[in-house]
Amino acid sequence: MSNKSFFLYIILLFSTNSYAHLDDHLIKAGFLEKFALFTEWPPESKFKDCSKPFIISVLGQDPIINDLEKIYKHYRINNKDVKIRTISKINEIEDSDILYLTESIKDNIPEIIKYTENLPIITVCDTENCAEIGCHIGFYITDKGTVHFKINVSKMKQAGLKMNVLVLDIAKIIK
Amino acid sequence: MFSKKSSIRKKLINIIILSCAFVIVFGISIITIGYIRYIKQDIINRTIMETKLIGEYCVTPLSFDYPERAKEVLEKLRFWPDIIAGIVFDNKGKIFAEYKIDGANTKILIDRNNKNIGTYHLFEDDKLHVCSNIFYKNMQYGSIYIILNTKITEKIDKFLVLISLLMFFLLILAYLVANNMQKFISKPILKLTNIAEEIYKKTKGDVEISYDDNDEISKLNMAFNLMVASLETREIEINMIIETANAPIFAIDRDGTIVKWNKKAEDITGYSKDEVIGKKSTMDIIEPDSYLLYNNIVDKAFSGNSDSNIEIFFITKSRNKIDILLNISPRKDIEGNIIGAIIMGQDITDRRRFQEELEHERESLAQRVQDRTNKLMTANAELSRAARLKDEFLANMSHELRTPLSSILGMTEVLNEQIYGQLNEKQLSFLKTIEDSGRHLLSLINDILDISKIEAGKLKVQISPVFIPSICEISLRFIKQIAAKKRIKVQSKLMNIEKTIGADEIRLKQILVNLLSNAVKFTQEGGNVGLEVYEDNENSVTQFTVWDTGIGIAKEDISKLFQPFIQLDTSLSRKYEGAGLGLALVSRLAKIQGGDVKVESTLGQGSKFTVSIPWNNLDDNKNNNPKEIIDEDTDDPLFSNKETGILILIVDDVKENLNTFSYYLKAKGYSIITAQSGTGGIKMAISEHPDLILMDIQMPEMDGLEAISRIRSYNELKSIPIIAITALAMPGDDKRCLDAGANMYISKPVKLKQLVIKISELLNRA
Repeated sequence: MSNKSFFLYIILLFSTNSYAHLDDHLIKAGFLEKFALFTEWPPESKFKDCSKPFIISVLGQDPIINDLEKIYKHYRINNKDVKIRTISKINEIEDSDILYLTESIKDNIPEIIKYTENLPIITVCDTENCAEIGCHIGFYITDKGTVHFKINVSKMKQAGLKMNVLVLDIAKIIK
Repeated sequence: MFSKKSSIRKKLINIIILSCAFVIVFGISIITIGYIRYIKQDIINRTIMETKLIGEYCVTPLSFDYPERAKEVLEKLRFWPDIIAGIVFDNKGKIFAEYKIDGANTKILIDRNNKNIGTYHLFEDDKLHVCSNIFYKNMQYGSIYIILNTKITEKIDKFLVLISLLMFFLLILAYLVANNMQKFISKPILKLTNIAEEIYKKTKGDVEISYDDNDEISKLNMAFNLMVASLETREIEINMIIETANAPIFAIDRDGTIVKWNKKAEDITGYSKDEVIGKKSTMDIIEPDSYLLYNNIVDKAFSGNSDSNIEIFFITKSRNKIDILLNISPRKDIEGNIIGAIIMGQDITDRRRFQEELEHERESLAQRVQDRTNKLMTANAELSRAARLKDEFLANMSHELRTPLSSILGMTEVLNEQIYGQLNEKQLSFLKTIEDSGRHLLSLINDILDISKIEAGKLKVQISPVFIPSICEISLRFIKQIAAKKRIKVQSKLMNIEKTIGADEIRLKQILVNLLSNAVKFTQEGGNVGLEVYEDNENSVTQFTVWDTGIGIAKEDISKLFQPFIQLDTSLSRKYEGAGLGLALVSRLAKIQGGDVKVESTLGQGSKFTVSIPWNNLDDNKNNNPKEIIDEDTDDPLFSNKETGILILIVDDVKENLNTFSYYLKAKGYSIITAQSGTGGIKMAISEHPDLILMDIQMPEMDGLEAISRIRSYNELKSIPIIAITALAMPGDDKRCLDAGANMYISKPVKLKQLVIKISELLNRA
């Protein structure tokens, strides 16, 4: 529980400081945990297998890695250790639970989407309009300057993932 | 509610309503309490659910730090009526999002730091505060706080009003049902009641009711039927009694209508039941004059008072007037209300008539009694006149008898004096016989006179001091001579009595002489006679006992001894002279002095007469001078043949008397003139002026009394002494003589010696 409190502390800390642009990475990193929380993986996936760690793969180079590592070093998702790994090749995607597509691989996104289209991996992208092009969740900055996200419901469904309606309620839905 | 007065119907209704009310109130109260709890819980549950739901919607805004969204969620609360506020707190307890209606008070009452899963609620007034922590997958993201104006009081109030209305309607329903249901019980009872009332109202007919159920009411019914039967019997009996009563009985109700009219009333008035019952016929039947009285007593009865013996006149159908004595009592129903009056009469017409007849009879009886009384009074007057006549007759008789006797004795005395020449032995002896017989006759006459006086109550006792030895001596002297003749030894035993008692001396002497004479008379020659005196100090009487050794008296004759004119043995009267008056006189004389006479006697052996004379009080008779006892044997000291020169006028209608007095007085030396009538006497007195007048009282034409008063009317004759000589010898004679003017009074037969003494007394006095 102490981990949880800590985590929450971090979240709240971030949320209060959401206006700070530098902290956007931290917020996004926190959001990943929430997406995992509100998403239902298909039963045959390894999500419920506690022996395997929860894997967040970051494709490309982005400062979020630091933040992710910082947060999940001591924290778990779904009672599982969280493993952060940075990948560069598409075939390394497997075994991931969340695939974070950084800005740096912006051009490869359609290909990657295509690759992961039917895999129970939540694809989160930081690039503009990435949700529209087939990414499951795409971050964007609101008019107020806060971090928000879009969810491509049909793609998620295609991947056998089910996002909690509560999240859908707050997210911008792409069909 | 269950007062004794309310009807059973009411009671039943009340019971049912009360039961229903109890059940309704109890049931509805439970329902109400349950319902209130239920709606309260329901509000709570719903609110908690809603709160949780809203909280769920806030999970992601909280998670993703998206208060705008939370706000959007909370904005939806506006569609929830009665909401006051909805607040979402983050995990730090800061307000994350908030919604509240304008001006709402959003005071937080529940501690939000409770980290437990679950919800908390509390009511403040009508406001429900619900706090629910927002969890997602065992992780708390914050909490939501809802304040709701439940308006539960209002709702409960509305509910209570509804429930009250419901209760009211239920009670009305209960009443309607009860009203219907009670009939099952009250109807038979009412029926019973009605029948009872019917019976009570004396309605005829068979009033029995049937009620087939086998419950208490049917039992009551059975009992009631029995009661009806008994009531009917009693009613019949009472009716029979009333009907056959030998007195007119009728009853009226409060407006005066006749409701009962018995046979006797029919008989007396002639009005049949059909003619009067149900009508106010008393107006016709009661006499107009009595009607006011009748109304009064009826009013009195209506106010509860009985009245009796009121006399009222009835007019019969045949217009006869009859006299009725009424008794009236109020008629009451079972509750004691006066419903009329019952009137019982008594026909007293006959009684009144008898009374009048009786009154008449009484009056005539009184008249008869008066007549009889008058007759009796007449008879009485006649009787008293006869008695007076008898007295007068006796007085006359004694006068008539004494007058010739006076002559006989006077002449005998004169002859015995031998004034007119010597008499030989034989002549003297004849004279002696004449004198004895004359004196005996005189004593008889005196006795008769005495007895008649006593019988007439005219003999008065004159009490004076009597010296007992002296009176005994004198009495004994009377019989000495005769006793000596019969060689009877006279013994006197005076027991040394030297006493003077109060008694009538003359009468006492008379008693003793009578008894002694009898003793001597009825004692054989050579017998003994005695007088004994005994003083009984204890009883204050002196007893004089005269005894003899004579022939005695038989026991059965003793009672006859003291009756006048009875001599015990008729043969005796031949042998012993006497009229049989002696003992009768003795007895009467003793009695008038308060004493009595007792007799002890043995036939052939002698008799003993005891006279008791009480000692009378002398003080009462102080003025009575002791009677002068004249010793008849005393020689006349004045007797001489010397001329006195004194002229005496003798007035007497009887020539013999005139002669006797004349001869004797002339012999005594007086000059005598005579007159044979009152008138003659007066003339003589005027012409001769005598020194003394002897006036006979009873004379024809003018009697002595008138003559005396005439003489006294002459002044020159007023001082002449007058001696009245009369044979009347009745009480009052002396007074009449003295009143008329006589100086002295001498009754016949006159003892000449005594007359001479009186004359000389008067002349000396003059």
